[in-house]
Amino acid sequence: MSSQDRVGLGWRDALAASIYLHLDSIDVVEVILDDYFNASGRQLRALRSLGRDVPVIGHGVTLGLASASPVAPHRIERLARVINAVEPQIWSEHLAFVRSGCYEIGHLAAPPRAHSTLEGAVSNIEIAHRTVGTLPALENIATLIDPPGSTMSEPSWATQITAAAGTPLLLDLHNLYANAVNFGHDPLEYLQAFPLHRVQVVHISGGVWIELEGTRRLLDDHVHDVPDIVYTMLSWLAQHCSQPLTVILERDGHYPEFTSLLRQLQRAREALASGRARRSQEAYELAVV
Amino acid sequence: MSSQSFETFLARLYSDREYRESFLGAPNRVVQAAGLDEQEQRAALEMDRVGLRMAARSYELKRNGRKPRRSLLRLPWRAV
Repeated sequence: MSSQDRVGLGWRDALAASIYLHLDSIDVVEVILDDYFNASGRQLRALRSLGRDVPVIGHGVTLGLASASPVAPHRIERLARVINAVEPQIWSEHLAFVRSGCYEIGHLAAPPRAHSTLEGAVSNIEIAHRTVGTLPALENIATLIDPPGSTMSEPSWATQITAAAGTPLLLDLHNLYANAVNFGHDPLEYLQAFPLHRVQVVHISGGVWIELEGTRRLLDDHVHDVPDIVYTMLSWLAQHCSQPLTVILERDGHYPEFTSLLRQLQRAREALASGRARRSQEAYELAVV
Repeated sequence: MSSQSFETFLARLYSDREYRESFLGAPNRVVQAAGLDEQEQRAALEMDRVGLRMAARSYELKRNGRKPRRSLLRLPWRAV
């Protein structure tokens, strides 16, 4: 593990007390910014004070940046209010659309991976950058349906958006794994196709296999433990990235004993350390030759 | 392709159960009425229907309370 790599978890009300009790094992917490859109000034100051105890990064879930349609200014402005009040070290959003016309999907949906959403995303990111003052890291999402109307692969689409917008990548390894196995890709080959030099933050989580009419898909649900393959992918990522990585464990319910979450954080640290060790060994062998 | 109207068509499919059932029952009729261009109509007709039903159900459960654990494991799919 690089001395600058960090491992932490998502800030949830149900976990708050345990997080405070185990800050010596938690390098960073990730706050869902949307949860504070209606927060009072006092509540925002309290959230900001969290940053004095542990580094805080922010995560948005409802902007819908990856769309051919422009994001409504008021949505970005209310996000900017929270970011400006809390001052997270990093903020992030998703490569997703969440609404169109008068229809609210209610969750993160994969838009058609096409030039129109690529251009729309870049434009929306520019607007968000101007309003907030900093660029978001962009997260790949999981999908149960291969998005209709797509003309490019997910890695190619994500690569082009992040390159054009100049943004870092929040790489969700379980989302990536789910999309790989759901749509016939080898997970490690799929991982290699993403712009790994842009990865700043990594999400890890778990899911469950579901079946409908004989078709099995992996649902990313954040209520199961991180599977072994995700640690393998994290180790591989640490081996092939030179930049520091901030790894966040996402858990949204069915909370186990907190010691179980701490064990998953420890496994993430070990995966990072093993990947970094292989990277150092490779560099040493190259230098010797 | 992938115009705002196509995104709106998808958003409606993902969020409006009645509309989605109409599409699954008579896709050609619904697609022709959606104001899509020829390429978009083809993309709509070729979409993975099982994936559509799975995705729409997961969005519906998110909209209805954001309590994923138990409800996501209920119908129409089964956890395996």
